[in-house]
Amino acid sequence: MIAASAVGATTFAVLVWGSILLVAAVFVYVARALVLDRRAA
Amino acid sequence: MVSSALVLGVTAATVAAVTAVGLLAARGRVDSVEDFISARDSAGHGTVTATVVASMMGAWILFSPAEAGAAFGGLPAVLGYAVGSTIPLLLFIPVGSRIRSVMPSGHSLTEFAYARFGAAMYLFVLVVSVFYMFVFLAAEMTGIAGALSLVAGVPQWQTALLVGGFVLVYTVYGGLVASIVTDTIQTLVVLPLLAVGFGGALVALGGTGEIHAAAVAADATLLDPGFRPGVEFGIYVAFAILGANMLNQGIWQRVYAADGEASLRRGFGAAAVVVVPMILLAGLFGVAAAALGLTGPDTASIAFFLVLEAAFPTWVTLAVVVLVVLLVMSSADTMFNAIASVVTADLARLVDADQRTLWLGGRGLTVAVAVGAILIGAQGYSVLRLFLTADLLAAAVFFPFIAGLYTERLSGPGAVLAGLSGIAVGVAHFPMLRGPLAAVPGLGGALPEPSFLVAFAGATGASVAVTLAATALSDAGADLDAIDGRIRALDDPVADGGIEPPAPGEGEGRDGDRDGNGDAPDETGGERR
Repeated sequence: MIAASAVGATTFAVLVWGSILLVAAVFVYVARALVLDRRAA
Repeated sequence: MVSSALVLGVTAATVAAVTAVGLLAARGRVDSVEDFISARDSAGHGTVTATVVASMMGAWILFSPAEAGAAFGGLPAVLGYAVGSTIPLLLFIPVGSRIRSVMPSGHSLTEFAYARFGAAMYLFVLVVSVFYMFVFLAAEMTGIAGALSLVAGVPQWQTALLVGGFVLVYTVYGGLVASIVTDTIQTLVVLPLLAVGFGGALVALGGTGEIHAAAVAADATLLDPGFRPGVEFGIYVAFAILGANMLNQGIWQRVYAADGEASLRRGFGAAAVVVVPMILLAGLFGVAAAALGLTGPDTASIAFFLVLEAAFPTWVTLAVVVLVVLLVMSSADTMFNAIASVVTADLARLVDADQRTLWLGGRGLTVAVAVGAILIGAQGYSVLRLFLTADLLAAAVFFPFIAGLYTERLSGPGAVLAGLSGIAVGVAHFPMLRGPLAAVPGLGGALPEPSFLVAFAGATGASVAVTLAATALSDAGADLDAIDGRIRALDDPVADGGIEPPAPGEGEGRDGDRDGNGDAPDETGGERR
């Protein structure tokens, strides 16, 4: 049987909190882009 | 459990608010069938990002990735799901650009299939595409009905009717314009709700350190990126998502909606970026639920809602209800309009219909699709088998279809043969069709070992191989420059099947069916001469 090699706690935390921050960052990007779209229109 | 009246009230307020936005946004902007199914060159990159994210990310993100994380292989399964979801969006940057270049006046993927490959491939693409989109829609309605039943005991028919009915109102009135505007609002609400919701959930569950420790103690394979079943799941789900999305008319509509190449590139690129953490978070929630012993194999798909029901206060549950309702609405309006648009664009070509008939047809079809989805959603069926079957068919068909955008050598029969070859290989290995296939006399003993990975990779691989062989061995001589000339503009005043003069250098008018008898252009996709 091959032993499982789980990612470390720090990697796991980076994955999770990094994802949350990325979602938040894209929200800011989309909101800003929408404002620019409106101005351009 | 939260009271069903409260949840129904929040749901009704949410759907009513979105519907009001959709109706107001579309007011005075939908004057023709063209406007109803095409918002051509109207969306900047922010709008494209928002509408693509909203259209693709339905309520399924709260079910399927969590189930993958909890029951199908932990972290690698979730990573595969996330990466697989982003690939089609990245691919649509060059492919979308090509679609706009080859068929700038187009409306639907089936129009392209017909103009490029002829009637047989058109029928093939039509069936696979509409089947996939309707199953997606039915799964969304089933998902929301099941979720509200779970968290508040709301009868499934009430949820399906409420959500489907309101989406129908603004989609029938405002078509694609209303869909895109509401998508934008929905994305602006959904993204922060997801970020705050998942962040709050993690903190409430003890933080990432505690979840990590619990996962390692309970089953370290949950967090092993090399865990083979998880890796296999991640690979085959990537094939499944890729094929299905390349045949998703909702995405084709948004390719045309972009107001230029830059908006297409930046919009789809940003959507591809945000899809990864959304899926990853939802999937890791399933990993966490399994690690903490909150779910078993039978309840993995509803891990998110079980945790919600057990561990969080009422206001969090209500926020999640808003989130789920918005996720469903944003996908449902896309699918209502996408399915209606495929058929409406085809009606324009196949029958001698005037604007009014097409207009009524487009709206009537939207109602028919919605009623079907509401009825199925109210039943609470398991649609997983249908979903995977639709994905398999799409995995087999998408490559020759997309190849037709790039090569003039591939013929209609060659494309059909490639799709059928992919389906044959895929079905032979597909575990979910093993029962009926094995019952066929003489076939049972000849069937290979069932495997989802081989089925999906084999379906795409065989299809690619036959496409390449057909392209190498014959030259159909299709004229890609002539395809756009076969597309009928739906706000065209020549709406009675009349003949427009051919453009300089073209052998035929815009319709491609100059004699009005509904015949296809030649099977090879070449111009009729």
